[in-house]
Amino acid sequence: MNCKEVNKNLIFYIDGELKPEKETEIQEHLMNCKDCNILFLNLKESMAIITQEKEAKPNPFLFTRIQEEISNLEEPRKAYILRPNFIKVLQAVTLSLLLVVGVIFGISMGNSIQYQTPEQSMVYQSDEFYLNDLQQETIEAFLLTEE
Amino acid sequence: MTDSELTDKIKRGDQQAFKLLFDKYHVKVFSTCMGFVHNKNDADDITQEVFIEVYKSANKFRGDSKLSTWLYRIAVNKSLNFIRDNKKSDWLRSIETIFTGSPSNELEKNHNSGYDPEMIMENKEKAEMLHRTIDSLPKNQKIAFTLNKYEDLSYKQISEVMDISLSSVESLLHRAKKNLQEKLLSYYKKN
Repeated sequence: MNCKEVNKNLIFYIDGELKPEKETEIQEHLMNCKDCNILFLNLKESMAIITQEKEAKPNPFLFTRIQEEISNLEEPRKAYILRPNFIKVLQAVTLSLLLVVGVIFGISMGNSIQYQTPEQSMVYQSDEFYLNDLQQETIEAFLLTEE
Repeated sequence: MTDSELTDKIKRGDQQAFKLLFDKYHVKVFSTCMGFVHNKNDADDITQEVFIEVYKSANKFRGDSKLSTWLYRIAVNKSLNFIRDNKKSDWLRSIETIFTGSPSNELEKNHNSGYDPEMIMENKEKAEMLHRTIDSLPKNQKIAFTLNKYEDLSYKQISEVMDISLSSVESLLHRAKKNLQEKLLSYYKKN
């Protein structure tokens, strides 16, 4: 068996999944080939990492955490209303409503203003002209009367 | 108490039955999650999510499959969702480790007890490379490999969890191992 063939089967050799004859061939090759043996040891070490990771233990307070989470889920509906998220949403909705009301009020105010047409403006000027009583009682006449 | 008795009681809201279920399966669920996320804190969080899901949807469990199969399915899905949704990318995580120096996994903690620093670094590199290689496997190969290696599930159990045939499991595991071997050996040759 050559190096290429051995390298193709190392992981199965480590897992003990090869037929006995093939296993013996690889074993003999590893004893005689230093490079393949180094690769084999490295791969074996890497696979052993999984065994080490399997020794990890979960948090001892995990069940308490789960119970707490479940009790939060089962809180009555009223409690939901008091949650910070709900209050934030309520604030946003109120502000949006106020904005919409403000815009509608502004539009209605704008529509209620009556602008003067040019004709109306002329009438005003002519009224002003008639109210001018200077021609009826001139300033000169006024001064003469004073004397 | 059998699994079906346990689920019946949980469906009726029995807290003690839920505690029994947790005691019986939480280590298996945690170990499965560890196989996917390779981080103890994340695995704790996902295990918590799994049991909350079990509590919430106990009524949906019809008992067509084994309780353990159902639990493994939830654990696998939650782990894969976690990996997908995890905002914290690998590079950010490594930067965090550089600055905080806090060992985030069990492996590192084991290695910090009495070995020389060079060996710790070497093993850490090897572990990171192994995780990267497992993570790079196609989804189904990764699921089959993780359930087999981290949870020691038989081919039959894996086929039940993944809802595929036995021959498909064999094929997935064979390809997963070949891919893993190829990538790891090329890494060793370079280093």
